[in-house]
This record gives sequence, C-alpha cells and structure tokens, in this order.
Amino acid sequence: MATVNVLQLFAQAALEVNGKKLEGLTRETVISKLGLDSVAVMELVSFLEEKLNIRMPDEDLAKVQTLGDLGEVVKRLVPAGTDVTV
Amino acid sequence: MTSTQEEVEIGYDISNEFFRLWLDERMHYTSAVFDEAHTTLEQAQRNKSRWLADFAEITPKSLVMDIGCGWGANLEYLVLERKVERAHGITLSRSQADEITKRQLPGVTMWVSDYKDFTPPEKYDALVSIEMIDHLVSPAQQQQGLAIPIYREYFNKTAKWVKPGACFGFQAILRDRVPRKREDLADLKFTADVIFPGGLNPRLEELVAAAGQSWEIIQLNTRRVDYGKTTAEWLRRFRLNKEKIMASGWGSKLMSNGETVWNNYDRYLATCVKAFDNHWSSDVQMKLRLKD
Repeated sequence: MATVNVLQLFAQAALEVNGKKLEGLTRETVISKLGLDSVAVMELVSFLEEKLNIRMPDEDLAKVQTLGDLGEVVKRLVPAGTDVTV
Repeated sequence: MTSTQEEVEIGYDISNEFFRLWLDERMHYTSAVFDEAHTTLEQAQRNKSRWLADFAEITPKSLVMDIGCGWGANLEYLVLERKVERAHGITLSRSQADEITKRQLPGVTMWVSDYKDFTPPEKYDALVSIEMIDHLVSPAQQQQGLAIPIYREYFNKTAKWVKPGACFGFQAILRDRVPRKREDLADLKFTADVIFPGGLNPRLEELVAAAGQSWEIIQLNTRRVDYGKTTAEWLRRFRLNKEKIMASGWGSKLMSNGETVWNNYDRYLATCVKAFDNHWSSDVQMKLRLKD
C-alpha cells in the first residue's frame, strides 16, 4: 500500500521549492502563519499535486487554513488504497 | 479589514485624466456586456448599465442607490438615458467624487462614505452595485474564513436600505481557477499588491451563500468573456497613449512617476486579459429580489 505523509511532503516542498526549512509542523499549523506569501503557497500546492498526481479543486483550496485541512483534501483525491497521514 | 480609503485611493486616484485615456467616455471601470448589437466599448458599457437597470426594475420614478459609484458612469446612464429623477451614489474615492460633482448630473446626490457608515435618508426602490464588493474582503480575512460572513453582512445591511419587493442589479468580479505557474501567480499577486491593495475577488459560491439570507437570486449571468473583451480594449487604448503616460507627472502612493505608472498598468491590464482568458477570473451579474 502506498503511503503519503502530508506534513513531511509539505516540509519537503518548502525546502525544494522555496528553500525554506519548516520545523514542528502539525495538523493544526495555520498555513498563512508560516511566513510564506501566496505565490509560495501555491507553488507548494503545485509541488504536492505533481508528486501525488492529483489536482486539488480551487473551491476546496479556498477553504484550506491548516495543514490538517490540506491533508483532508489530499485524502479525498488520492487513489483508493493510499494511506494518507497528517 | 475592508479596503481602507487609502487603499481605494491607490487604485483610483492616479489622475482622472489618466483613466480617461483608456476607459470609455463615461469612465466605466467595470466589465461591459458585448453582444451583436453592442460591439464597441462605449455601446457595451451602456449595455451593461441597461442589464443592471433592468435587473433592478428601475423606472423614472425609482429612487435608486448606486453602491460604489466610481466616476458616476452608471449614475449618468440612469439619469440621462433611463430618465431616473433621483439617483444616489456612494464612493470612497475623493477624486471620483470630484469628477461626479463636475458632471453636474441632474437628480444625482453623492456621498464620500463607506457603505458600513452610510445611513440612507429614505428607503430605496432599487439598488445597483458594480464590482464594489471586490473591495470588501482582504486576502488575510479570506484565509481566516471570514469571507462569507463579511459578504453576508453587506447583503443583509443593504437589504435594510430598500422598500419591500425591491430589486438589486448586482455585479462582481470573481476569482476562479488558481494558476500554478510561478510567473502567472506573481502577475496576479502584483495586481493584488500594487494596483488594488486590500481587496480580493469573491468566489461565486461565496456570494451565493452570502446573499441568500436577505435576497433571492432571480437570475445570474456570468460575464467572463465580456470582461476579457473589455480589458483587451482597455489595454489597446492604453498602449496607444504610451508616450503621453510616460511623460506625465502622474503617480500615486505606490507609483512615483509616469514611467512607473506605464509599466505597472501595462502589466496589470495584460494580466487581466490573461486572467479572463484562462478562467483565473470571471465576472457575474445577478438580479436579486428582497426576501420579504
């Protein structure tokens, strides 16, 4: 079974795309408080979409505030049988 | 918080003459509505006003409020072409208010006021508002989940301004798909930061959720293609005036001279054309009727 850890993937994306090391991420981490501007956040989303081969609907992204919210969107979109943890 | 007076003035107060160079003759700074009978920008802007006045069921005897009335283009249409005897308007921009005063429109009364602070002198028969709601929610507020409550406050407050059965001709720019390429995202961020700071376009589903407490949505038309045509024509006219703009002394708090104004607005208008073409943005007109 494929496994995805959204927190780890998000931290990896921040490092690879923005050169930013994020530590202590949790489900409750509010994305807008990470010191990333809106361009950077969407680049991270794009990184996740590419890695997971999904496209997150914009109406769902508009409601995402925490990494937990992001994880819930990912859970709904990955193929059945993928184990998603946040 | 909602766009402040200072933020609104960054967007609209460079110089009335600057905007006159590339908008239509009445200076509508909102989407026109093109069809087979209305092919020029001037005709299509008048057509937009006609759609909204029809949505609001405006007659010459209607007391009408235009919320966020800009330079008075729609008020001018109402009193000169629809023969409305009394029309009110509010704007946050002092230079837009000066322009309306200069136009000496018969039957028009206008205030420089935030809609939140405005108390109507009497109840209205009809409301019109054209893309003013796009100034109500900041990106930070959207991230905090406050967008729908703020739009709901707007719709509920304006519902208290009208008589039973009143209609509202409403228009808003919408945000839709979010681009994923860095350069496209940077162009959109530039527009939000430099041209219209403090504002964020709503999503259609947010407006539908917010309007419904007080207003019934009778009809809804999206105008994405129309806004693409409108902004393409603005860009074409703007570029015809390059030398004049570059050499001007125009500027604002965020733009120091004519050359900066030229560069920023060229990028902004080109981004708008791309945004409507690629479904990053859209536009909507709604006919709303007060829920009695």
